[in-house]
Amino acid sequence: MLKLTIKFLKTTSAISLAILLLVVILIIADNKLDLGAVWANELARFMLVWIIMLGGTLAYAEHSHLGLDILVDKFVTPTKHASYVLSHTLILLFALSVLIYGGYQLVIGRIEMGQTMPALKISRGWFYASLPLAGILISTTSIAHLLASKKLTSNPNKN
Amino acid sequence: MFLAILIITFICLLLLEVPIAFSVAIATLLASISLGEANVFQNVASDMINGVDNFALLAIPFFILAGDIMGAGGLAMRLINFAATIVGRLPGGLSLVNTMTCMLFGSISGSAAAAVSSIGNTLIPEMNKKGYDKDFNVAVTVAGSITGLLIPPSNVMIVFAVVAGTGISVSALFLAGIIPGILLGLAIMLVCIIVCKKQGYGQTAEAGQEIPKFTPALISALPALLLVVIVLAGIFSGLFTPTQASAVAVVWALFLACILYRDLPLKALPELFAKSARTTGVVLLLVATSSAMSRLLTAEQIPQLISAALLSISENKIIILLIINIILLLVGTFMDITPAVLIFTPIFLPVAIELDMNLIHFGILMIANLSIGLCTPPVGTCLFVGCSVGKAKIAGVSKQMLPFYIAMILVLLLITYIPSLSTYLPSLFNNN
Repeated sequence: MLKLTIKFLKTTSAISLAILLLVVILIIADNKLDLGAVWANELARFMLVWIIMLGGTLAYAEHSHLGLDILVDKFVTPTKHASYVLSHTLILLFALSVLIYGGYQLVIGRIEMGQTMPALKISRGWFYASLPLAGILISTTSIAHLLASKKLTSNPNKN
Repeated sequence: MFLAILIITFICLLLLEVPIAFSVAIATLLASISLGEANVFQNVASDMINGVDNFALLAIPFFILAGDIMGAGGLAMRLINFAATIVGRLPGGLSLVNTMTCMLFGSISGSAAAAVSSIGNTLIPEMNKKGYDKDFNVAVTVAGSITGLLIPPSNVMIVFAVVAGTGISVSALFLAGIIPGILLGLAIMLVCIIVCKKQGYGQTAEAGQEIPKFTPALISALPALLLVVIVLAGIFSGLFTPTQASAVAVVWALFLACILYRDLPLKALPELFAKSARTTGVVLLLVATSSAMSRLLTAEQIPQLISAALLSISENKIIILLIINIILLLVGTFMDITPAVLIFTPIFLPVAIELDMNLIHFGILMIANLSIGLCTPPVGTCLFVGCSVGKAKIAGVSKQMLPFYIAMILVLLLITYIPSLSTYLPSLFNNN
């Protein structure tokens, strides 16, 4: 499950970054040549938020977020295991409460208010939809990390 | 009460090894709940999105991508050859080549850790062969790498400009970093010369040996160096905004790596883009969650309280800045530079404003200070990468770092107490 999630995240985030690059090149061209592509500014910010959520989840799946690693390393395996489980459980709770529940409410709120992005002419809900999506992916990843923790204790050298 | 909850949860989460981005978010969430705010989940979520919905932040993924592309291509070797033609003949030549390459590479790639691994991989074994001490070689690379955070373009500066808010332009910060960055590089080189002379590293054997000819080395490195020139000239002349310049940098880097140098096969690109998107996620998710935290701190007037407390200790600018520097140095020893800038800028900015400081100068001070922490134990990204690249022990390298720490702190004091080092260049362009 983790492998599949990582593959999905890599593909989507790489494509999004490539699109963002094209959009910003278009913005430069628009500034110099006045093509009237006002929507490009909105699209660029839209893509940025999506890349952050996809890339941030990818970083979580691949353990590349910044953090401390001084204390738990020094603990013996059972404590290390407990802290591993606790930390991923907390992240799971955060993803469920803030990203999925809070994010979903934001999306619904924007749709109910009928708030749209003026140039792109789509609901602003789409902008916030990156949050629940990232929430779903982060929850899946944290569950995958938690399931993998059993292997970690049986083979402590592998970490 | 809520502040205690915020700080205690944050520290506990960090010790549990929850990534900083999530630690900040969860601590903010618990503190908000303790305040009895309504719709806490929705508020934290919306603060996160608002924090990153900023056009200036668009430059960050592109500078990361340009750096990754240049790093994957054969950039390091070309820069090393070029640096060798300039400083290779001086005593301790290779250590100076190392520092100068770090300055060039750091400027192009914008990442200090990437500079350590790219340059360290090539130069540390070379220096080991030439009889330099292994721990010293790692120390030089680690020390040199942080110059790239001050020499523009620099992603940390963009982060600072965004959290500091209105009135601080990325271009002005970029300009402001040039003199301090070069000064830091020169100070590190001076330490190299002194240590090498004392230890007798690279005194005789190198003279006239294996130094590439200037012109071919320059021509080979020129397209890469042009990247910095295009980006900076574009920004400072007002032709591009920093965000636009960052996209131009990616296009130029792609042209060099895939077409001109042909070091990067096209099929490696998807993986490279994914890697850059991941790094973007690391940096900007931190920006997102930290903005939720700073919204909460600001709503509770915490920065004002801290500012008042600091100013009650002394009204003297010199002493207050000394205290801020000491706090930030301590923070830097265990926290990476981006989260530290995100968390402490909103807290210390009111103090800087109260002291009537130029905020550009304050930003350079913070970045110069926190970058030192990247080379110190217990947590120092550059030190860790350096030790793993150079297969050295942290304790041994840290000992060799001592003279470099002294040089860094002296430069930091100069930057702190001579504002014109930072403000002179921006004032010339006056594009604040």
